Amino acid sequence: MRSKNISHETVFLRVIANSIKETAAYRVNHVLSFLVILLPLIFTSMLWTAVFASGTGMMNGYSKSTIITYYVLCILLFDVLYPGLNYSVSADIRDGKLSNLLIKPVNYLTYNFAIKVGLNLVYLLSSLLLACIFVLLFIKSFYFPPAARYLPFLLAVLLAFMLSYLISFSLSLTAFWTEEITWLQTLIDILVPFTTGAIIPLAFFPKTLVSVIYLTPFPYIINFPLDVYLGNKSGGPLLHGFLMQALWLGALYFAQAGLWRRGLKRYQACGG
Amino acid sequence: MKHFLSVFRVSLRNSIYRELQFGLNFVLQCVGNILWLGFSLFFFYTIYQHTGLINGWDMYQTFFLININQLVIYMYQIFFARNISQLPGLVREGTIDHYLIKPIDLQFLVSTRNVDFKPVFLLPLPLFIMAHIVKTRGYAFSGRDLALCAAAFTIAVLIRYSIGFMIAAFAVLFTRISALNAIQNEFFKYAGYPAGIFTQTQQNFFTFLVPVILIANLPASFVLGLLPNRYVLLLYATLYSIILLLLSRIFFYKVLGKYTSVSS
Repeated sequence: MRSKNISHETVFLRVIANSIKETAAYRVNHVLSFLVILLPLIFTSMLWTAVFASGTGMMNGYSKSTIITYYVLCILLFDVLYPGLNYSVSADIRDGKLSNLLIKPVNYLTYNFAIKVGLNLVYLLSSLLLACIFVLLFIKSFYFPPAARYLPFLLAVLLAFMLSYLISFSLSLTAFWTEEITWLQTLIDILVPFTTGAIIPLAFFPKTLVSVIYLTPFPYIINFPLDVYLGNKSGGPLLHGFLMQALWLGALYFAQAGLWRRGLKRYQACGG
Repeated sequence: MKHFLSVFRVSLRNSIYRELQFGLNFVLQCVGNILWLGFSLFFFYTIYQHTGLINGWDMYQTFFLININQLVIYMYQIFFARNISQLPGLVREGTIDHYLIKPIDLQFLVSTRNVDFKPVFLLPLPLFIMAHIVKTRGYAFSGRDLALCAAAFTIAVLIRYSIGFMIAAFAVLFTRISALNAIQNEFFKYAGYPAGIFTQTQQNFFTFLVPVILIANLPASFVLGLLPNRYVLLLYATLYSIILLLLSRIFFYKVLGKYTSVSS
């Protein structure tokens, strides 16, 4: 057999490609998942249209156009940026499949990141297409920012994606210590939608509560990128936001590395 | 009937034992559910700080609606949600064989074999909020209205059950169908939105074709005095639920007809 050296980049790209193929294999589920996006888009835009039709002008700095845009983007990005538990990581640890991956010349953190990228790429591209059709057909008041704002927005989303992945990966490593981790998912489901601004933009919250929430990485996952898109953050606050995203990324990277090292010392795989 | 009740009693006892084994998760899920209700109320509270009415619905009517929708969700979770979600697995893994040989109606058995106890502890909160709203706002309704509200509520749970069961039976045919479950959850989540947000055409669509308005708006209307055509709608909802229940049954047995046991 001819041996061939494969670079880490090639492995990364191949894992992404496999992940895309796997997602695309379940076509019925994939097509139906469009509807999961479509429903909140429809109901949310109906609700806000009715609210603003009742005579409301501006709400905490949001107009009808910007609030609908906030929710459209939030619905679109929520599943991609949601830092829920990565069950395949915890299953690898619990079922001993991790042993198989440890002997391969791939970094486990990068390997799982590639899987997440692959899964979300298909989802994001197809739901983006659906959202575009929906916006063009039904939402006349969707807000399009000046061209210069798209790049900072995309950067904020990219950093948010990495932030979300590191939170999710670090939390999933608790499987090294305990088999039962559903309580952790429950805790995430309680805290995340509220603190990321997915339910209501953080500008609607009392100031004291907002300052507490901004001590966590969660507002930088959804609320911050959407604020960048809508132009609510510019100049100093924009740079501060990016800096905080970078700081949280660094902190979480070291946290997961520490957890990984300690976890591996405890790890025992039974069976062949 | 006695036979059904005794089977249900045994399921109830087993469910309590199982829940108590996962104490922390139990508490967290209860807290999570309470917080979710709080977030929903906070969401509409924030909106109503800027507007008095949303197409005729005031804040307290909307709060009442959210809570009645939450009660429908809890009732569905208590009796059916867990069992229905496990149905595709039972068929795929062949464990449904154990139920096929039992001398009781199969749909009843697979639908009610477990009772989820968490939501039972959550029932008092929405009930208290609803009672408080009725008391402080002084809504006038008769005993008959209350009975009709209870009837519409039961029908709403039945509609929810039938749709859930049909989707689970459908899921048996496919390997991955999680999106279908997500779709029905989304639909019923928005059942707590006031019907006033819809235009007339949308209201017709979300009443007669997709029963979003029948789930919470209809039961709530008997107490709040909204939806002028509520009596006709109740009649329609009754027929709708019966047809859905029959369809779910037909569909389930049709799917089961293709079943070949995979267990040893």
